[in-house]
Amino acid sequence: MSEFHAPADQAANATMRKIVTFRVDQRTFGIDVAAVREIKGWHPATPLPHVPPHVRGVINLRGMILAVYDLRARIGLGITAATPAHVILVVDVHERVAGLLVDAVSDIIDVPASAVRPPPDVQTCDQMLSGVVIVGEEVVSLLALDRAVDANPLVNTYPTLPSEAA
Amino acid sequence: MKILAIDDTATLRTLLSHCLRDAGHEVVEAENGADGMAKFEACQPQLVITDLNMPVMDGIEFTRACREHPDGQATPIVILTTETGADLKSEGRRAGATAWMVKPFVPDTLLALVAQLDR
Amino acid sequence: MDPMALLKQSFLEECDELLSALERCLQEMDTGATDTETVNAAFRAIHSIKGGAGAFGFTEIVPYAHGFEAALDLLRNGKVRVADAPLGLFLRTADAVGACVGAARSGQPAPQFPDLIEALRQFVSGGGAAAAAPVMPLAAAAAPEPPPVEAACGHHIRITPHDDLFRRLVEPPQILQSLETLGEPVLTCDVSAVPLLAALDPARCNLRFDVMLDSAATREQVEDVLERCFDADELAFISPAAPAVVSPPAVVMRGSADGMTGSVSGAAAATAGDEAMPAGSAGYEAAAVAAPAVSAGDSALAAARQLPLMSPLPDASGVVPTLKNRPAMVRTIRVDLDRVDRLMNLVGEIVITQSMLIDRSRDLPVLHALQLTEGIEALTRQTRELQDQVMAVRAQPVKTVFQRMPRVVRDLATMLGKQVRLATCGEDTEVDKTIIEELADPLTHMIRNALDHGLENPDERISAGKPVEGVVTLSAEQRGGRIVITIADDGRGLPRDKLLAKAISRGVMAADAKPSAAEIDALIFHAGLSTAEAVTDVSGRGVGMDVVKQNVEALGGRVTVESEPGKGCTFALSLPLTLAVADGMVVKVAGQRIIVPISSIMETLQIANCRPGSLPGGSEIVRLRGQVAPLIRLADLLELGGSGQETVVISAETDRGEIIGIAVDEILGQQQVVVKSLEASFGPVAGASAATILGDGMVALILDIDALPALVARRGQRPQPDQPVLVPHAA
Repeated sequence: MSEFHAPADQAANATMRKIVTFRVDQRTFGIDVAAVREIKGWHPATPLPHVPPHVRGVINLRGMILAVYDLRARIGLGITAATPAHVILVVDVHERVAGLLVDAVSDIIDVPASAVRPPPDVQTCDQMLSGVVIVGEEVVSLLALDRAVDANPLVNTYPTLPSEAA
Repeated sequence: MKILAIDDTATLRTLLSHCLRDAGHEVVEAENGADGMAKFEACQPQLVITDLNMPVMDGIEFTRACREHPDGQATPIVILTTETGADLKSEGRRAGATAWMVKPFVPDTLLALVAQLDR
Repeated sequence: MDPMALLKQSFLEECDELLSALERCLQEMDTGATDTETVNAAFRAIHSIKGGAGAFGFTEIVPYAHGFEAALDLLRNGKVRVADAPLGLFLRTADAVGACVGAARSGQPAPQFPDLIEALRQFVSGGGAAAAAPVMPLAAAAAPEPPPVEAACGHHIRITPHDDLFRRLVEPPQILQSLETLGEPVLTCDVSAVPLLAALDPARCNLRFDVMLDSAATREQVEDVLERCFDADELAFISPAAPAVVSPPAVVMRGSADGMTGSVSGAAAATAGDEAMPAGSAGYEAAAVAAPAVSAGDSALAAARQLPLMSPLPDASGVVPTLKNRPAMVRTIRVDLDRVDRLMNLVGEIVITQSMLIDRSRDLPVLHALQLTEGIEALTRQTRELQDQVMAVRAQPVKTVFQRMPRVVRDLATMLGKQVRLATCGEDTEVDKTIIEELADPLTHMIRNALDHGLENPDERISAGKPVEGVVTLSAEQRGGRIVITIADDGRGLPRDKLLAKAISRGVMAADAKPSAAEIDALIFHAGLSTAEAVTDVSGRGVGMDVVKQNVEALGGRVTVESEPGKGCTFALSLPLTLAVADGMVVKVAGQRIIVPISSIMETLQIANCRPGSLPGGSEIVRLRGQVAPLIRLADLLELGGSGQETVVISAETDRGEIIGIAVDEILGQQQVVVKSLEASFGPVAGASAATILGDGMVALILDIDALPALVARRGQRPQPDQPVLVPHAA
């Protein structure tokens, strides 16, 4: 994973963003490479009581307790039937480290910062997205991580997806 | 010369040692009089510099004990203290202290005194 | 950072410790301690601060420390009684020193409190006058010595050493040498008092010296140099007007000290050996150089010389101090807390590895497993001991926090015009340092509350038939694996009507709600409701009991309140003894492993043996130890999907003394668990105080026994509402 942390071309080209893209259901999401600590395979989590369904529980990450959030459940598509093929993105969110359960990691892409557009409809997307970017045929929804890995239920679900809107 | 430095305040002790070592002396540290006596026996220093106010065994008691020790009668003892009271100083003198130096010590003055006592 | 800066920093840290020791002593004096050890300890503390401050160049601290030291010295010498000491002034001076230390640490200019220095000076000079002579001059800057009378033309100093000069190892060449820095000395030695050889004791000095020093130095400078090796009463400055008398039989030493080799003891013997020297030469009776009567002290010393090393010596007062009746020597080292923390973490890792080994050994063929067992058992024992030892390093008595409180009470009582007595008990109860550190703020806040809102004004108390003096009791005790700290006052109790009215007006509680008294009292912990009617200077600082509650809960603790109108109010903090490791019983519930803290467990029973039943409302009960207790099915409560497989009931006691029965499927065993915070990685989890990592690497929750009754009650209130059921995984 170390190449993820390479200083990249940030200095050379400050207007480029390095994005990790991953898939949930049929959709592609992205987050900044810098936020990703590591990527690990699914490991059964210990469920927590009295939490919303998208909080899958906690796992042991080298002696550290890591809370894992199910992104599919988070966006209202039901709980992921996790298999060892599923992936947990270990991400930094503010002072915390959290796990984000996704179907698979797709790619690492460079996108010009200017290509990132605001999320299409704030009303329907809640605050889960920080923006969208179109790469080739594909719409990549950039996640607002602090909202994605929040235990509080979303104000509303995710009826319209950018890919469908586009 | 080998010097035994006794002070209960760790930083002051360190400062004192630092200053003496800089001048090329070998320093053994002790944190109170009783510790000082033990180190004195073990290391046979050529000079002792001791604080006055210390827990367990103070500088005057140490001086007295040292002077009563068979090996402690020929070792100059400097009491380094903030005390300026004549009574205490006189007590120190009666206990057998060679010199009395008032803190805060000026390193040069202390080193000059040490040099004087080096024989 | 360069070594000097590090030393300075280290000194400032030491100052904090010394100041806290000083304050402790002052508190003790305030509460009536008059023993010399308390005063001495205070003196030593300020003395060390002064010495270090001077040495490290924190000159701004010195005047306070100096005045303080001089004032304490009056107490130490018995010239002022401890009861008459101006403790208020002392405390403020300690604060001033603290402020200077703080300023020095942050590199800010030191705050100025000239009034304190002046007040100390007046106290010292007043006390000194009462005692005929000031014990110690004040800071040179504050009270300059009178200027020397002598003109700067030269000095004649007569040195009449006590006869122990040689025992002190002071040698006249040193005298010359030390004066060379000031000018050119001429030393004349008077040997007239030296007795005849037969009567000579070579260990005694019978010499007298006259030093003529041609120097521009002031008398003070000369004194400075000579007083290093001589007592003031061994020195006499002979004024230039008086005829300089030099006695006939004299040895004159002149010039550089380099030329004067050979010890004075030898010289003395040589002069004594000169039988031509007449003893007691005329005109020198006043000198009294020799022939001091052998004092009682000296003969005692002579006798003591025969004693083995370290035997107690008679001190000036004739009291023989023995090493035995002194406080035992505490040998300590200072260790960076980070290191202890790393050690603790490592122990935690070992505990996990050890349980992993135990797990793995189960998979081995029986023969091999047996061979391993012995080793594993030893490892378990040793790990346990290692852990206890590390915990002991981190444990501190709550005294370190409690001792700050008398000051809080004292200052606040004065400000509020109330009479308050603080009673403390259980100060020696030990708890992990991390917890100690976090306790100070909540305790201070609660004590302030008790004084400000809890205790009535003196006239109110009188009309209520209470003693004028209010009592705030601070106590600590260990209960099971927890420490319980209570802050109780005998004041007016919580204002229930006001709390309720406020709760209703803020919509926290429905207008038609009929809460119990305890429920109303608990509103004090609700954000925004704990503010007093009038914001006072004391507790109205925007921090309420809700913040206290949050802080305490973040430590895995909880705070409760009990109040009786007109009688008083008691807050109780219940905290884990350590945040690091706990003994747990591993139980299985609906396929999950859960840790139940051993400290709360009373016994375990087969479910059939405790006569389960249910109340009319539907809640289940069991009979435990002859009483009816609620039965909590853990699988239900923790939303693991009702297992219906429960076979065992764990009888447990909460920190409030409630007994509950916890039904689980199976007990798997006992083990030590490393407590890992859930708060830090997720947030508070109802029903779980923390989590741990088991031998197979899975995370297990640690059950929060004390929270269970409330959790059950809450579920009862809303019977299965929008139950967030975890959808079973298709896989």
